[in-house]
Amino acid sequence: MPRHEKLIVKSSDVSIEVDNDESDDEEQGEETDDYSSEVEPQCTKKSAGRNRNGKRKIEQESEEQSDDSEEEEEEQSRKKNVQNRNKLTNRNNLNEAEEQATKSRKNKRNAKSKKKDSHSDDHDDEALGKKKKGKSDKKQMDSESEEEDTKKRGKRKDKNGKKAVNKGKINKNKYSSSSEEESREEEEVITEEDMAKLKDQVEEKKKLIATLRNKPSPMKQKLQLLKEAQEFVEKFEGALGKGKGKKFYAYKVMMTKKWMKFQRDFENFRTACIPWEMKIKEIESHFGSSVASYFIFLRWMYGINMVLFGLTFGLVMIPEALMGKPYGSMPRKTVPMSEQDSAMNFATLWDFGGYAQYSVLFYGYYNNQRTIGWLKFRLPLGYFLVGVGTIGYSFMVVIRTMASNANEEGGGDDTSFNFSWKMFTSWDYLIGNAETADNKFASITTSFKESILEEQENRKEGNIHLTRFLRVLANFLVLLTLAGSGYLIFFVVRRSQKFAQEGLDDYGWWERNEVNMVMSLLGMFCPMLFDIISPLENYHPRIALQWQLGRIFALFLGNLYTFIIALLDEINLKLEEEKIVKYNITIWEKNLYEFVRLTVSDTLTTVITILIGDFLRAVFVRFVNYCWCWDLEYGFPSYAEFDISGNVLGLIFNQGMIWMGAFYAPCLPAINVLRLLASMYLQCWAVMCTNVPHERVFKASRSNNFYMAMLLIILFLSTLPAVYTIVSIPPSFDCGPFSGKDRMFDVIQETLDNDFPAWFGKVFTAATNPGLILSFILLMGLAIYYLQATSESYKAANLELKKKLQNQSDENKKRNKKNAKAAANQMEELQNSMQKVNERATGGDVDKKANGVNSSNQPSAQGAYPPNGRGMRLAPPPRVAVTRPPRPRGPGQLPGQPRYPGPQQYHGAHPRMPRGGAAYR
Amino acid sequence: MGQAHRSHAELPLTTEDLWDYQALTFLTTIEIQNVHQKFLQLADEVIDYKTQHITSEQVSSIPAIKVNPFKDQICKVFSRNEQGLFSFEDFLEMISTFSENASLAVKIDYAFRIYDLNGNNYIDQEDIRHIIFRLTNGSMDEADISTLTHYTYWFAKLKKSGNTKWKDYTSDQLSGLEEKIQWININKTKSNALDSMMMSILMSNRVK
Repeated sequence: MPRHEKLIVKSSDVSIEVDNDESDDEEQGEETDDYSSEVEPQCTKKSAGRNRNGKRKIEQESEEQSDDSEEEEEEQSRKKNVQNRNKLTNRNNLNEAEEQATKSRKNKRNAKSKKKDSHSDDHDDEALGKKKKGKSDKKQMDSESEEEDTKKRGKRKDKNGKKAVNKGKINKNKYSSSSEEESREEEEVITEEDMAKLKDQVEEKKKLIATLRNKPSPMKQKLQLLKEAQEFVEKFEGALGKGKGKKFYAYKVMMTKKWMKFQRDFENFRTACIPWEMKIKEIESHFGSSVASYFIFLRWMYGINMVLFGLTFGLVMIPEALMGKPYGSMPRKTVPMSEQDSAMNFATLWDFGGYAQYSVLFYGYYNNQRTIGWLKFRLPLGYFLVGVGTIGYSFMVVIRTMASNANEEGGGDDTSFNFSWKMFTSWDYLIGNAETADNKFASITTSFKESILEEQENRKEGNIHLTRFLRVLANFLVLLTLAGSGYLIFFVVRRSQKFAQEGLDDYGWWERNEVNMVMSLLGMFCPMLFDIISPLENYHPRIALQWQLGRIFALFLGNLYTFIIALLDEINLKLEEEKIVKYNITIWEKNLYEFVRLTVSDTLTTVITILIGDFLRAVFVRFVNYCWCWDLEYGFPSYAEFDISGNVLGLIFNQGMIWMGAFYAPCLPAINVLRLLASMYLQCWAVMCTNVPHERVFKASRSNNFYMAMLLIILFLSTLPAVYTIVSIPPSFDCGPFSGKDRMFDVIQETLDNDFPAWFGKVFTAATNPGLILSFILLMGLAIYYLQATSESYKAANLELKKKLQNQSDENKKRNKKNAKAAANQMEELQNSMQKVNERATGGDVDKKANGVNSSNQPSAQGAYPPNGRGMRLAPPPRVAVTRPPRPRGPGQLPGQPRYPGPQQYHGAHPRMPRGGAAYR
Repeated sequence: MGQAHRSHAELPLTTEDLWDYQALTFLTTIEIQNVHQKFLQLADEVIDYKTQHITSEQVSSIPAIKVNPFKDQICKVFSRNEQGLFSFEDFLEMISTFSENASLAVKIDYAFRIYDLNGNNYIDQEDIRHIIFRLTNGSMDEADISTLTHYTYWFAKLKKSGNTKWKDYTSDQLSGLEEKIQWININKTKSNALDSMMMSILMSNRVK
């Protein structure tokens, strides 16, 4: 024990010395070289010398890097923590004897804090280092002074931590310069303390490398820093670790390197894998982010459908095709004799009849055999689980996406900094196309003017009632339209039932197709009506688009549901008839095959609409324009704008059909994947070559939760019937993997009985007992309530904080009231001067320097701005090359090219801002 | 284009440089290579890409910022050179800053510098006037600009100092900024611009 004491005392002595040294390092700095060349360099002294040397260097560098000081400070505080942690972990690396020593020391002062503890361990390390060198001839010292010491050392440590960024460099220099020393001392010299430091430094350097890109400093500077850090890490990483630990450490370092490289490569690979990024970006630059949002949504949809397709294809269709009973082995797998002749006709196949219907593409083909093939694949169970999994996965993905989008959108007080937002964020930096830029300029101007007017109106508080009235009126009209269309459908369905009862033979084409026709006509004309109504409301186009989408959505859903309700009457009628027959041999599942046909026909409709509505129109406008009496391109038909709302809704409803039908037709996701693929390419092409940008270009966020919300509703509505049929209708006896069972979900019970031990079945039965499930649901309800309450309280806390911030800024305002007043005066002056300048500008030549304006702001514009480090002297204003050179009304114009001949004269025609003179020489 | 490419192929980025640049930017290696190609294309005669400089005019000719009302300012901020010359690193830095993955802090920093048109480290009234002027392409009359400047100032609640300093913004505003400022998307155009020109050369042309 006394020996330990001695050692400690010595080391603490030295550390005091170090502390003093550092305080006046100007003097001592010169001595560093002496230190390094000393024949008997005590290792602690050496390290002290290093530190001193470091400090000097740091001071030199701190001048260079003063601009980075803020970031550095942040980093330093982080690094300090890391350092401490590392020290603690470092202790584990000590060998046994050292550990014993540590313990004995610990016993002595286990009341000390953790931090001190870690530092004192360092003392131990030092002490042991001394021991190795065999130098122990020092006085004694009591525990008080020791504690004091630790404090001092702690301080010093902190200082070191602060300089962490640069220290590594210094150390490196030190090592390289004093190679003589190195060679003599070799490995033994690298004591534990040095090791710990080195380790810290290496860690710091690594951190630096990772965070360097976040600095806005010039690339050259960063590159230099990076190179130094990398060199340092490479040089000393291998030297770290000792004895037993060394190999392991080296291994770890190697693995982390490999892992990093892998991560980078993987990241590269992942970004390269995102499909159609280029196409979408191109569209984005031509049409703004609103149109691109549709394509991003489409791509997202494609991703989901790929997963669904993978599930059904891999777990249902492939096993059945490979291992199931072959075609023709049983009635359900054979085309009936009556259809045999036409079964291979193209028309039949196109309609998914004949051989297509009796294949793995459809539910009816699957056999109810419990296991198939040599793999003993449990096909019915697989089919059931895939069906449930499809629905579950879709819900999960949609909700997760919505949640993450909501996170992104959160925050931001829209109203309070309205003008600042408009100023700094209104330009869409994605625009790379001249016409879009023109439109954007125009829309920014409009929005600026609107916001000025709005502000003025707000102050008057006059016209808001009119706007409100108009909005209410518009909504009333829309409701009327919706109700009217609903009634019309109801009426038509009833009428068709009457026709059906009387026999269709007496009636013509219209009566037979009345329902379909009316529904599609309504679908065509009601959105137009909404379009006409919506200008009444005077919303921002982004909000207007949402209203429009919501209304069309309501229209479609309403129509669908009135249709279903009207049909239900009919079905009830039929059911009553069937009750008399009692034995019902219709295989109801096959009715659901209809969805496949619907999807295909829907796809065709979309393609045809694009070809006729966009492409033919564009061709017509382009070429007939040569011989027409008015300008077709700028006049009435013009080119089509991309119909965002219609396309989004089409996509969503189509997806709804997929969800509804996927259980009974495993081929549906596959078809949908093809469809989405085709429509991606077709629409990308169509939009680029036949459409023109919207007149009011607006920004849409990349993650659109509005689309998602609609998708969620559709998902819910479309899985409802599917789930209903799965759970409560008995499957037909001669069709599908569940034939012969009471309910479809009986496969689970069956599997439990046959494939699991008996106790598991019992547990499962017990778990599915209604009492348990009910209580579980209750628990979930409570959890939801609790989470809801918590989030509410968080929101309240947020609001409170906001208020506090507001109050603080208000206080600041009061304090600076005078300044504010002065600023306001200045403002007035400025306005006056502006007027003067205006007058003068209209008068003719503007000689600003002789102008009286100089008294207010002009001087500052002229010369008061200090010449900036970046060499700021403003160049002439950008001649934004957004417009074409003027030309005679020539042979028309291609879509995607600027449409308006107007604004190319902006700079010339409009009097330049007179006050801009100084900056815009 | 094909010929040009052949001459560029003689000056490839070394793997080490590539790693370094990737560590320093928000781009992937493929994107850095694309940027490099683009840079060489913009330069007239290429001797060594490390010493080669291109002018601001050449930079602002890339479609991504060709129509940008602040393109001269963007060039000025990123060139770090009195004559407005761009080294490859400057160019890379610009693309990286505008890239989708760039951190908000970096974007805001550069956004401030770009909007600080007269370079006095404040966004003051004059800057705001010029911003409005550029955003509307000069199609707004003087009175409206004055009013708008006035309102902007008034509502920014920053009139206390007479200057808008970016760092004065509260965290609240910054979080809103994240959502609203479309800087995040800037690079997409850039990539688009760069890529469409290199489409024929590179298999994977996704410069963000």
